[in-house]
Amino acid sequence: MIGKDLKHLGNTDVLVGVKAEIGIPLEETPDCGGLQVTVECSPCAGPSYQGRSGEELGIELTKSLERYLKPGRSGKGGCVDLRALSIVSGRRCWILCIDALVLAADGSLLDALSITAKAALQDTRIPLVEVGATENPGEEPELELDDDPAHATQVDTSNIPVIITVSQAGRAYILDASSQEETCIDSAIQLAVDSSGAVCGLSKLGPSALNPAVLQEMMAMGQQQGPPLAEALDTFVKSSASLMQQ
Amino acid sequence: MNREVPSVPFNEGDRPKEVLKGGTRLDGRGFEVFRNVFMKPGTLSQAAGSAYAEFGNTKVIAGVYGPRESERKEAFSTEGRLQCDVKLASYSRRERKAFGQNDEERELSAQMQTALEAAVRLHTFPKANVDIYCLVLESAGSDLAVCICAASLALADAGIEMEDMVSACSVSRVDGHLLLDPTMDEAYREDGSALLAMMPSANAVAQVVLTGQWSNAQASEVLQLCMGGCAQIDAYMRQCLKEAAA
Repeated sequence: MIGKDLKHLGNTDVLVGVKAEIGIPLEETPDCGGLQVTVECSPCAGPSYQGRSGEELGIELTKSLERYLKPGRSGKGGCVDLRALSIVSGRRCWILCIDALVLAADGSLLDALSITAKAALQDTRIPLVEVGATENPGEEPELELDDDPAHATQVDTSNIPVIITVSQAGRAYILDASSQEETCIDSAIQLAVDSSGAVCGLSKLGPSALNPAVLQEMMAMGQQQGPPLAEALDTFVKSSASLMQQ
Repeated sequence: MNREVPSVPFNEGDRPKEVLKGGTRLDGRGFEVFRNVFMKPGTLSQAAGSAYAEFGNTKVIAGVYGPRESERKEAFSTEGRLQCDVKLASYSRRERKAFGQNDEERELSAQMQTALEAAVRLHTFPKANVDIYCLVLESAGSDLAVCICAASLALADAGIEMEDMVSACSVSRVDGHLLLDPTMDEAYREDGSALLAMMPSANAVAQVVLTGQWSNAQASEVLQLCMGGCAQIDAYMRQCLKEAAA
């Protein structure tokens, strides 16, 4: 039911936990489960994260992460297949809660968060649920949880992208900028890339405007990094899982 | 007041399941056609500059105040600051919006700020603040694009120096078709979306947001479509300013 993971990206440390809860699906999407993201920035992560500004940054990161993971209001287009999380259509579903904590911030926060969230989701096990038969349709369905971990199902993470921030300083493009480097950046793009290198989301950051040709170049650079990063993450998660079993 | 009970709209018809009937949009528009666009600068008497913008039923009013002293205590800066605040009126949608800023408004504000910071020449008002307030009177799709257009027109009305006017438009992908300037119903059925804020004369991208999975060909197709849309809006905005000045 739970997965968690700790990632270090340079001096950036984030911790992500995933929990699954049984809840009621949204009226608009009765056949879909739910996905909830929260990012908290601990004040010990850096002097600028005290009080309100930490809270605001947390909300900003939450929204960006949600944008890349969650499907639109139609339930289509997301990277986590929420339909697999349905238990009884319109009545009960699994809700995945992805809770992230920023322990130390040294640039490329969203990159670290997305990588860690993907790893944590790969590690997540959802217990098998048996739905008892109900005679009349108005009755609440009776659910029986199978607590044998061998019967638990995994979340399909093959389509989940990782976020790569490509920063632009003058005529150079930088990957994985540290917080020191982030202070002298003209603009940056956050690019969500899946394991095949396809774009799953994009957003611009930073105060300067970008020439469309430069934007395309930066996108291409980010896309190149997607497949090797996804592969490295995959082998890392698999090796740590086999270590756990031993 | 009990916050647990969501407000139920009096007239709640279901949102249409199909927004493309026989290859046309529900309102009869072509795929690459805007709704009726109307803009008027100088609508608020108290603001340094203001504008009203309407794309179909989406109605936004924007006011610009400043350059003026910052109300919050902030560190010294040789550049001016831009502060954006997007607010959705509590009656702007079917469901009543609860009091106070919610996460969606925060995200809209942050994205608008990125778009406008790229255009405004911040060094022309060091130490001072320019505040931009956008109020969405009716939210009927493409809200952020309309907000950015209204704010940009209000900035021009206030005489704040900009590199170029910023115009914006959004696109929804429904069943593989790219729909320019989507309505709320269309946005509910999308599996991918794009927002582009451009400075057409400077040929620079001020903000870009993509959600959903995009192939390389489709990503450049949607950016091209948005660029064309932005150029149309830009021409209209310039004409509005000239008419207001005449």
